[in-house]
Amino acid sequence: MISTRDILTVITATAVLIGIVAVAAPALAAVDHYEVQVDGLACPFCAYGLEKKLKELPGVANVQIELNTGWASFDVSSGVLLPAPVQAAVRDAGFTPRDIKVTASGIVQGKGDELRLSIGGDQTIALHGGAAFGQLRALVKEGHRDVVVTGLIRRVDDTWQLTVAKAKQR
Amino acid sequence: MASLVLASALIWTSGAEAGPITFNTALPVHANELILREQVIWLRATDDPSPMDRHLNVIAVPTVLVYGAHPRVALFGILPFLYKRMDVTMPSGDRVRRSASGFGDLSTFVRVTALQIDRLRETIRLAPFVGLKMPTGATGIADDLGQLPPALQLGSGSWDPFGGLIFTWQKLRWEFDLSGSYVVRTRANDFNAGDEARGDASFQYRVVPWGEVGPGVPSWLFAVLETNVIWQDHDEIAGVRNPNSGGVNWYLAPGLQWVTLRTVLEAAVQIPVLSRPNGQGLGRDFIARLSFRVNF
Repeated sequence: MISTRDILTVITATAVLIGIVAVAAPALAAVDHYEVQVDGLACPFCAYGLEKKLKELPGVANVQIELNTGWASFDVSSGVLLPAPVQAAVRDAGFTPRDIKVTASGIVQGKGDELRLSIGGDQTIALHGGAAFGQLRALVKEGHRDVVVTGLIRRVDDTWQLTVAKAKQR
Repeated sequence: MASLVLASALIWTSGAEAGPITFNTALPVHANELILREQVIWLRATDDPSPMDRHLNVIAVPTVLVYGAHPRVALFGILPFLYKRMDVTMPSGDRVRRSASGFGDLSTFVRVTALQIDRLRETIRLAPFVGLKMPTGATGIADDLGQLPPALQLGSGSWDPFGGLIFTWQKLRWEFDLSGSYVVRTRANDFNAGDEARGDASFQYRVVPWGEVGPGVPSWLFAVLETNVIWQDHDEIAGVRNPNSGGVNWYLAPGLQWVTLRTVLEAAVQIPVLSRPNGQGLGRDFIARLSFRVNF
């Protein structure tokens, strides 16, 4: 016969175990936020197609379109979303993607000027130049490799390269 | 007779994105998506130089479906429901009313964006289109007085190819559209309506909000001014040219357009600046349009 005390013991032990795992696991790494400059967007009715295409991307939430500035922004709540599918979604909506600004969090690998941000799975982004690159190098040098960076991202050869405009310890 | 004037009016209701009210646009339809447009069109033509004193009224409710097959390719389908009525004075002096109602001819066409120049808050596009009007509407409709004239038949019975080119320049403040097109009318039931060429222009200017656009995707009200020049060749009946058919019409169409993220509500009246039908053809009074578009 299982007593109430036994049940409470099991529940408590399970809760403690979950807590230990949560503390021990590395923080999730990802591109958390996108801002995309969309050229050719000039009317509300056309903006609906863009909003819909962006919402269809995996993990995308809180899509905001600013007609006045021509920028679309959204959060990525789960998974790893690289810029290529974002560009494809903009093109599918009938527009032209230009600059893409991201906020990404993860573990910085490498040292000196050769820094890469691991954003989950085997996906990495090269971190290169920008106003806050020096600040990022300093953080890494001090051993703070778990960071949040913001900046323009673009494809260089086969690599996504982020120009670091802001960097901080996570 | 004003035989196919409304066929033309219906084919060119095909724009389903925001844009002109009386003809098409080159603006994008996003891939794998559907836009529906419903219109109510009222055409009245009562300027009759003949002793028949014909009064033609046509109410058309075309349903337009647009599918984005590719970011640059859009497929259009248009099926109108028609009510046509003509009051005419017979040689006996009696005034009679003849009418018909039902679905008209189905038109389908494909539009391909050949040129796309996108800039921040601005786009310029050029898109050719080709299509076919199919004889799905009833022909040979008769009443107590015999077979109805072509102007009152619901369908033409003919397979009519058409094509053209649309230019669109859109900015946050205004949009300009220009279109040229041609319809080849083919023979059916010993009747061959005249070919048709037309040129259209539209200028839409945002009046609400008047100043800077606010945050997000606000709703806009456009003041619209459009113009349409339509030339139609003579009809042929049993191979004989009908001198009382075809001609030139030039319309000016002021209108209003309310555009939101998912819907467009708009109205315009096409007023004839010049209505010059051949022979004893029927001159037009106006074409009024009320339209609703929704983005799925």
